[in-house]
Amino acid sequence: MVRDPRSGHAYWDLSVDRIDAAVGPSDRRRAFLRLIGVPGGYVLAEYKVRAERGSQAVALPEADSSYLVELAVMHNYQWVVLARSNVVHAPPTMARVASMPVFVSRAEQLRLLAESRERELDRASGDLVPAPTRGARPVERQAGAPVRMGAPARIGSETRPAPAGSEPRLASELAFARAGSEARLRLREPVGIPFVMPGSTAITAPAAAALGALAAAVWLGRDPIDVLHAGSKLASALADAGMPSGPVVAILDPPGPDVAPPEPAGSRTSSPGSEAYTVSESLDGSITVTDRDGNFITYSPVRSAGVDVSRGRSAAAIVGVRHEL
Amino acid sequence: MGDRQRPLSGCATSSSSDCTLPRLAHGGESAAPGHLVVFLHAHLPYVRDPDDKDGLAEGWFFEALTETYIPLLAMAEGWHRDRLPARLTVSLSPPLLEMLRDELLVTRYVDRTRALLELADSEVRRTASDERFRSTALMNRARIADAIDRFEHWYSRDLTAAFAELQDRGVLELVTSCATHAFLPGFGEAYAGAQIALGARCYEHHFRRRSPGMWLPECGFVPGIDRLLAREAINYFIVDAHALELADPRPALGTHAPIICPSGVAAFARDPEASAQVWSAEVGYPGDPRYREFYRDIGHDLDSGTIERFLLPDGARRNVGLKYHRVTGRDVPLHDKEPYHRAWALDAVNDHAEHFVLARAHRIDEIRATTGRAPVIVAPYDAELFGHWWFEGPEFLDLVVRKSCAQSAYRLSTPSDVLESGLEFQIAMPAASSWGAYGHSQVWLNSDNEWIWPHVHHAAREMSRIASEHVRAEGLVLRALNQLARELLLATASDWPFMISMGTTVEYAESRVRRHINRFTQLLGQIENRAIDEGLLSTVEASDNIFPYLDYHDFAGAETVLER
Repeated sequence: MVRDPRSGHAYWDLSVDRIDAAVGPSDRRRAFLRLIGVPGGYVLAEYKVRAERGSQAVALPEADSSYLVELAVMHNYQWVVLARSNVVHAPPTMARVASMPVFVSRAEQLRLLAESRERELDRASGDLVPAPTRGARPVERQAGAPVRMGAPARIGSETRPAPAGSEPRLASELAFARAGSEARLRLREPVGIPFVMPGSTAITAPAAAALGALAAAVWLGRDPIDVLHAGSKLASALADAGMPSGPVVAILDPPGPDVAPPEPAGSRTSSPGSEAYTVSESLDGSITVTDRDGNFITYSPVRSAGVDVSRGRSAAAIVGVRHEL
Repeated sequence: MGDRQRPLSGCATSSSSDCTLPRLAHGGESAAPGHLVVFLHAHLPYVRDPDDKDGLAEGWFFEALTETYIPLLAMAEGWHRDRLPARLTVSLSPPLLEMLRDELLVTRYVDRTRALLELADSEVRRTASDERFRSTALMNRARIADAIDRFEHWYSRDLTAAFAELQDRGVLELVTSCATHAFLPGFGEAYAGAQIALGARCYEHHFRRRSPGMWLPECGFVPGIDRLLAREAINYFIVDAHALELADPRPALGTHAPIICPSGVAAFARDPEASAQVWSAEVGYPGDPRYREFYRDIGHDLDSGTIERFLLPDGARRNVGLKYHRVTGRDVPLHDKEPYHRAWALDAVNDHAEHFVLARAHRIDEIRATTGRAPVIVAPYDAELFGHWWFEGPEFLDLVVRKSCAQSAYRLSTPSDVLESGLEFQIAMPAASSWGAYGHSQVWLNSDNEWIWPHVHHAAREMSRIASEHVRAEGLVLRALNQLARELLLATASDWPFMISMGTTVEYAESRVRRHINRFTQLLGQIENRAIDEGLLSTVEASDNIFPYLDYHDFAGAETVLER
C-alpha cells in the first residue's frame, strides 16, 4: 500500500510449512523484502525481514513512480521469491507539465460518462456482447424466441477475472435485444430482476483467435439444464417486468465450439462439437488449451497482481496472462 | 463497440477549436460571475447497538440529531420560506441514512432527548437565581424542546423525508457516499466497486432517485475510482486541492474550476482558504473567545446524582450537551472559562459571516480578472462541525447563505448547477490524494492502525471469493452470505482507523473492527463447513442490521488493484 509519495507499507503472511517446503528452515531465516522499480525491474532496496509474517515500512525513492516488493530468500545461491506484491504507484509531488488543455461541454461530458458507464458495465460483465450460437437452442425453445449468447467483446478480454465473479452483474446487466433487432436494453436500472447465472468459465478458441476473429468464449453453466433454467427464469422475469413486449433474446452462452470448461486439475479432452480441445493444467497452476491443429494458449496465474487462479464448486475462472502462440 | 471505446482524444479533435482557453473566456459563459459551492458532508459510523442502550457511541448520533441535523433542516426551511435563491449540497452517508430510519434508534433518541429536556428543566430551576447562567439555561432548554418538538411533530420522526422534501423544493442537493465510508484508496477494485455501488443503491432506496454525486470518504481518491463512479452514473465527486494542482495534465484554471476525468466524472477541488477559515480551531472562526466552549460541559461539572441518567454504564461521565461557558481564550484552562453570552456570540457570528462572504467575493473577483471566466469555489465541511463542535455554526451558515443571496459577486450553486451552467471544463485526471493530514493515506495507515489492513484485506478477498462461488444461494446460506457482507462493510469504515490515529475512543474503534472481523470469520467458517448456526446468525442479523436490501452478489469479482 502507498502511504504517501515517498513511503509505502508492505505486509505478508505465509505459512511456515509452505516456506520450508520451498527453501527449507535454514534459508527461511535469510529472508529479505526487496523493493523493485516498475517497469525497470531493478532492485532499489532490501530489508531483512522474517519470512513467515510481518510488515515493513518501505521508503520510496521517487514520487510518481511505480513499485512492487518481493519477499525473497537466498537458496542454493539464487533468489527464490516467496511472494510478490501488487504494483503500486506513488502519487506525484510536482505539478505536471502544462499541455494544450482539452475542454468539454456538458453534453460532451455526459457522452463521456455514458460511454464510460457502458464500458465499465461491459467490463464488469466480462465484456460480453451478443452473438449467435447453437448452444442457445434449448433456451430458444423455452423462451419461444430466438436466443443469442454472450461472448467477450474482444480478444484478450477473456483473461479478465470477470466471468465467475461477474455472474450477478451478468444477471442484472445483460444485454437484451428483440428478435431481429440489435437494440440493447440495460435491465439494471429499470427493474431489479432477481436473477443469477449458473457458473461460468472463460477460455479461448485459438484457431479463430489467430485469424483475428472474435473467438473468446464464455460458458454460463456447466450443463444445458443450467442454461435452460437460467433462460427460462430470465424470460419469465422479463415478462413479469413487462419489458419488452414480444419475444426477447437472452444472451447466455458463447458462439463457436461447444467446449466444456476445463476441469480444475489434470488433463481432459472435450469434443462435443466439430472441434476438439485439450485442456491441461500444470503444477504451477497454469492452464494450456490446445486445439487439434496444435495451436495452444497458456494461461499463467498472476498471483503477483493480487489475483489467483480460483475455482469454485459451481464455477471456474481462469485468471492469467496470455502467452502468445 | 468501436464507438463506445473511442479514445478520449476524439472529443478533443472533434472540436479542436473549442479546446483553447481564449475562446472559452468568451463563449458559452455562465451567466453567474462566479459560483460558491457550500457542501456539507453528514456522516456518522453505524453505531446502533441493541445491547447497549446508554452507550457512548449512540450518543454521538443523538447529539448530532439535536445539534446539527434538525437545526440544519430548520435553517433550510427558513431559506425556502423567505424565497431565497439558496443552494446547499449535503451528502448523507449511507450509515447515517440507515440510522435515521432505524426504529430502535429513533425510539431511543426520543427517550434520551426527553430525559435531556427534564435535565434542562432542572437546570433552569437550578440557575434561576444565578445571573451568569440563567439565560443560557433557558436557551438550552428552548433548543432541546424545539428539537424534540420538530422531530416528533414536524418531521414525524423521519428526517430523511424532511431532507428529501427540501431537495424537491430546490434548496438542497442531496448526494450519497460509499456504503460504510471505507477509505477507498486502501482497497482493490471489487471491494471499492461494491462500496460505491451499495452507496448509490442506498440513496436510491431512500430517495427513489439517483444520486447526482458522491462524497468520497475522506476525499480519498486514486485514479481508477472515477471509473467505478462512472459505472454507477455518478456525475461528480469532491477532492482536496492538491488532487487538481497535481492533476494530469495540469489544469489550466487551477483549482477554481472542476475538471472532467477521462471517464466523464467531474472532480471539484475544495478551496483551502475557505476550509481553513471554518475548520481550524487555531486560525478559524470557531476559536473566537465569544463562542461557546465545547469541552466544558455539565456532564463533568455537576454532581453525579444530578446527571445519573447520563452516566455511562460503567459510571463514567460524558458530555450531555448542556454548556454554560465560552471559549474565553485559546490558552485558558477549562476551569477558568468565563460564562457564555449569547448576544456576544451572535455578534461574532455576524462578523464572521460577513468576513467569509466578502472574502469569497473578493477572491472570485480576483480570479475572474485573471482567467476571464466564472470561478468555482468549493467549500466542503463535515456537517457535524455546525452545531455540534461549533455551537454557533448553524447561525453562521444561515447568515452566510442569507448574505450570499444579497450580493452579486457570486451565486450559491451546487456542483450540478455548475456543470449545467454552460461553462466548459478541462479533461484531466486528478492525482491520488485525500483531505487528511499530509494529504495522502497517513491518517488511515500508520503504525497505530496498520494492523487493521491485513484483516480487512483478507476479509474482502474472502468475500469476493465466496460470493463468486455461491451464485444461487437460498435460504439460510443466502442470509449468511448477506450478513457476511454486512460484517465486512462494518469493519471497513474509515472511522475506525481515524479514531485510532487521533487517539480518541481508541478502545471503541478497535473493538468494532475486532467484533466485525470475528463475526465475519465465524460466519465464513460456518458457510464453508455447511454448518450455519441459525441462532447465531439471527443474533448477528439483529445486531448488525444495516442495509436490509444488500445483495452479496455485489461483492463478487476479483479484488485486483485499481487501474487508471
